[in-house]
Amino acid sequence: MNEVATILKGAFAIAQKDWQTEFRSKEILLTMGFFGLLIVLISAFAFYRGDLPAYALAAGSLWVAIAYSGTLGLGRAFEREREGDCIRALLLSPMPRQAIFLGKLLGIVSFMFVVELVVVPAVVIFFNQSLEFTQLWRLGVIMGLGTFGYGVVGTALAASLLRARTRDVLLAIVIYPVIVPVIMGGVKATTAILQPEMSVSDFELWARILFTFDVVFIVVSFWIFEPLLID
Amino acid sequence: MNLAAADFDSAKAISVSKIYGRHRALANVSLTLSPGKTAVLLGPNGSGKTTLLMLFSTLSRPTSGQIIFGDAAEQRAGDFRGAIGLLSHSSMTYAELTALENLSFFAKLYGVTQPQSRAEELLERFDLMQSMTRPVNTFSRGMLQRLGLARALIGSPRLLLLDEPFTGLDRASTQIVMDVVNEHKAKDGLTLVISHDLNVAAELGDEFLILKRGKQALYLEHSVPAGELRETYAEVTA
Repeated sequence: MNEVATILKGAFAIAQKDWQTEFRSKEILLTMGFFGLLIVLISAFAFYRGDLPAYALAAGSLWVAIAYSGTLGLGRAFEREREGDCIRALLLSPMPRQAIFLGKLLGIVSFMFVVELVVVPAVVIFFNQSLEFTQLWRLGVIMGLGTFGYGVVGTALAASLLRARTRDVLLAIVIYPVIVPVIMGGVKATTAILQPEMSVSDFELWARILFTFDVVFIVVSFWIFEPLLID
Repeated sequence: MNLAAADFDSAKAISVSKIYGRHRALANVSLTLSPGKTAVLLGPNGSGKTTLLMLFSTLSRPTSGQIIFGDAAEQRAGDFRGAIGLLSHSSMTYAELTALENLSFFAKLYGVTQPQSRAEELLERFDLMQSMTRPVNTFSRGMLQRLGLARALIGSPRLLLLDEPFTGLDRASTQIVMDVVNEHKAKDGLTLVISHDLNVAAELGDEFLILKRGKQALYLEHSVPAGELRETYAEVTA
């Protein structure tokens, strides 16, 4: 079996285990989804007025909801590895460290995608947006790139904080400064998509920036994942 | 890439020290684990036993000194991991999953060709077949300990590291663990056990290392009767 196949096989086994666990407890999806919806709802009531462009508010609210609910999910997904010291069992297996990183990443990104299936329609409804197919697929691309970037950074940081006593607080403090480019790129690209005259050039520019961020951080994370976890 | 771990016939800790911040957990300790022998680590709480065990597990790196597996010129911890089975203070299993799901998952990570069969074989071995479809969070302490040991054996390890494996076990379960250690020994496996029970230690051990405040207090390279071990231990740790 070649190395890539081994890594993918291991990663899918870990992501599958995360879903299996989630099907039993349902705690990550429910808390993330509820929190995301709540943020959209509060934003809509607080900021949606006639004097501000609704598409810009919608873009901002969407990415705030993704960022905050994502932090909840990340914290819980890694807490499960810490409970019962399971992370040690994972690290002791002969699976390449990249497979463990990729597996946790796949798990959290897929959780976020499911939550986004609820949050995006909520944003469309509460901010009175209408999406055509040309906007919809572009929004899908941006959500994919942004969520993946968020997941990469979040997985590496959450793993590195596993042994920290105040990991929940620290994760929130550490993650947001690092993912500023993702949130900025996501908001700018979403605004470009949602505005009345869609700006394809702006969408492409921010999509490229998000893609570059994703590539840089996945390479760095693959490289630093093991040293982050070993004593 | 092959998930099969590199084989080795010995594991050595050479003058290892481990420092956490300003605390020296282990100072200049050496120990060689040989095939077919069970080494027992003894010592009061906080003497560095678990620290030494974690260094052998490759999950922790020594601050100074070396852990060497076999006589390979180039030592990469990752090459040996698949051949190390570790039972720590916790079972290292997922609470929401069943015993069968847990073991099947770890079997996949170890590249076992038939994960479910291997999982069932171990559940049978540890008398957990009746409970295999129950979530692990409904298990008693003793059942968790047995499941943890089954997980440690999932990849048929060459080196078995057991940190207080008898805690919370009844007589029958204790016997199962003793049998596992003896079978491993009979197969020329390397075994390192931490125990506070000197009777069990004397029964299992072929060599003993007593640690005190992170330092090597005494090394006995032969088995000793329980009474003698108790006296020696009391003398050394006084």
